[in-house]
Parts: sequence; C-alpha cells; structure tokens
Amino acid sequence: MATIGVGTKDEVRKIVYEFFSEECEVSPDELNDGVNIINDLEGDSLMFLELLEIFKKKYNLNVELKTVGKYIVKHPAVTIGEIIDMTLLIIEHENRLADLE
Amino acid sequence: MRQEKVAAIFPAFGCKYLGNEREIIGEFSDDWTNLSDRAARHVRFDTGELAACRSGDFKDELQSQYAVYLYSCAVSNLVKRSSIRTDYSAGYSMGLYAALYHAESVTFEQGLDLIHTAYQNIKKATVKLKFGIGVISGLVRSDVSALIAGFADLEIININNKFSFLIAGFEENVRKALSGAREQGALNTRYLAFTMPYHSKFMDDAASGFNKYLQSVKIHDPVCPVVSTIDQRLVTSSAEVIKDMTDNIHRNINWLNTMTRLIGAGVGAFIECGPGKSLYKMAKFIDGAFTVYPADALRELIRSDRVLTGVPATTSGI
Repeated sequence: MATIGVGTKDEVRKIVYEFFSEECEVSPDELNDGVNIINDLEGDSLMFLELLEIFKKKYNLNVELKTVGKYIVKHPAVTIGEIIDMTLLIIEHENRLADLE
Repeated sequence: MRQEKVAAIFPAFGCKYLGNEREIIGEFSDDWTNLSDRAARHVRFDTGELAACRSGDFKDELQSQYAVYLYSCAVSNLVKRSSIRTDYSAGYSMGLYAALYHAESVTFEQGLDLIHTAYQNIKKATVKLKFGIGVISGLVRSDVSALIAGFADLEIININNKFSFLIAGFEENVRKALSGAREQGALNTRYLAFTMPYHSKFMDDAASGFNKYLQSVKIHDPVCPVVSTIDQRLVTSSAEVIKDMTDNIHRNINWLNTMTRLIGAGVGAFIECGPGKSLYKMAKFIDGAFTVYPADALRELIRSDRVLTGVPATTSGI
C-alpha cells in the first residue's frame, strides 16, 4: 500500500487538470473540482480509462480495470474532484480497492 | 517531410459529430454542398435534417448512414486534392462504402445505392424480431466472451480496441449482458439506438440478398488496397470488393486487428475521414507508434508544412 504524500496529491491534481483541459479543449482556468466530466465537458468513459492507463504506467500500479469498475459502480466519480479522489485511492490501494466499502 | 505510410480510415454512422465539420470542410472546398446536392438528387436524402442535425444524432438510421458517408466522401476529396497520398483505405463497419469511394472502387452515387440496398436487406431480415446492440468498455475480451457465453444469440460483432467491444443479439439479452458487464466491473456500458444486429449471424439472409444485388453493380478494382475489417486481408480486386461488402453484412468485424495490421505494415499516420473523432478515440487503446488525425486536425494537416507523403504500398507488404 502506497503512502500518499502532499507531493503525490499535487502531482495527481496537476495531471488530471492538464488531461481534461487538453482532451476537452478547454482552458485550465475554466476547470474546477466541481466540473462534471460528462455534462459540462462532454467527456466519456474512455477518457477515464485513458487517465487510468496514464496513472498505471506512471506509478507502476497493480490494479485491474474491472476492480476499478466494480468500485465505480458503488462510488460513481463524475466530477474532476471525485476523479482526483478516486485516483488517489487507486494509487493507495491498487487491487485492494476491492476490499474497500 | 514524413516518409511513412498513410491510411485513410472511415467512421461508421452513429458516431458523435464535432459540430463544426461543415465549416472545416468549407474552408477548403465546396465539396460538402456539392455532394449534399448530389445525394438529394439521387436518393431520398433529407438535406433539411442534415443541415439541422450538427451533433450527428439523426432520428433515422438510413439518413444517418447517408450523412456520415457524405461527410466522409467530402473529406476524402479534400485529402486527395492536397499533397497527401494514402497507401491504404479501411472503413469501420458501414464506413466501408466511403473507404471504397476513396479507393475509387465505387462512385459517390453508387455508394449511396449500396448503403440504401444494404439497409433495405438488413431491415427486411430483422422485421419480425427485436434486436439490439450494446457497447462494453473496460473489460478485456475474455471477460466479454465469458459474459455472453450463456446467450446463444449474442455475439461480439466488433472489437474496437483492447477495452471496448460491441455485442449484438436479441434486445432483451443484450440488455442482460450489459447489466452483467457492469457487475463484472465494466467501466461503462451503453445500449445503442440501433435496431439491427449488423455484422451478426442474423444477417445471413440480408447478406445473400445484398450479394445478388452486387452482381449487377459495376465495381472497379481499388486504386489503393482496402483492408478488410473481417479478416484483415488486402482487398485489391472488384471480386474481392464484392466479397468483402457481402461479408461485412453478416460477419463479425475486428477494428483492433485492422488497425494493428496497418500499423504492422508501416502505417504511421491515419487520417480519419469523416465526422467526429470516434476512430481517434478508439485508437488510444491500440498499441503502436502512430498518429490519428481526426477532422479537426485537417487544418493543421493541410495548411502546415508538415506534408504527409505516403510511400508506395505493396500487396505483399502487409
């Protein structure tokens, strides 16, 4: 289980913001934690999948997509803030995400 | 100047539009207007709905097919008039007809007739039963295969990439499978607004009827190889074109393998000729060193100094 420090939190936040800014072609200034990826940015699930792949490579994570999928069914993440929080949980728990309630 | 092979790839109907395709094409030519007029003269094509529907969310499946074909042919014309030489052509699902137009195997009007006739045959074959198509994202192929194993009617009709699959069969079972996929951990599932199970075994009669029609159509050998999405062979003759168009109606397709085959043949640049950027998005989960240029990259592609120049393709090189 990885320990999430301030540095990692900042890094994840920066990557997520840059990712959605680039993918959805909006200025970073227009984004905030409350922005809804689907409704406000016309994003889709493939974007989350892509983001997940980025973090899997960056942090060498041992996590199966379907583990994340099962978690998302119980805990939907639709805003930028929620996606950042979920990403931090994935980095922290990897496949043990399945054990979380 | 780049010296890599270039492929023109064509999306299917049902893709989400950018909304400004007309303006992008209009910056370079009158193709969109001209082709729209020609389509309206040739088939029952609703130009009013085309003009009003910028999102691509057409109510009528046939009109939706015509519209994507029209946009795709307009972009194909643009690409050909620029300095871009394409070595291969490939069409995703019903994008095949635009791929054949690009390869000069069929004319614009013939493509419209092919779309219309295929649609009529498919509609006739499905008139008595309720079918559906769904997309599953976030599982791998073995998971999806296991998921549908208990349903005799369900098939994976297309593999988009490593993590995205289209399934088709009876509506009720498609919905059950999608629900099961979410329980299995799929990141997303979506029941599509299509009523006909394209590329499935339920289309055998439709394929047979379509093939009879194809025997009467004057089809030319492609000027550049068209890659079959069914078995990834190179289609280089009119006889093979007819076979591929027939197979495309009732056999499963595999876009992942098609792209992989092209990448393996040295294609480093794919030009997505059509509305939206669905193929660009799918390609993000396909391995290899390549770039996909969707419609909104056309300006950059055509106006920049970075001219794409294909190298001669060989039929044995793929």
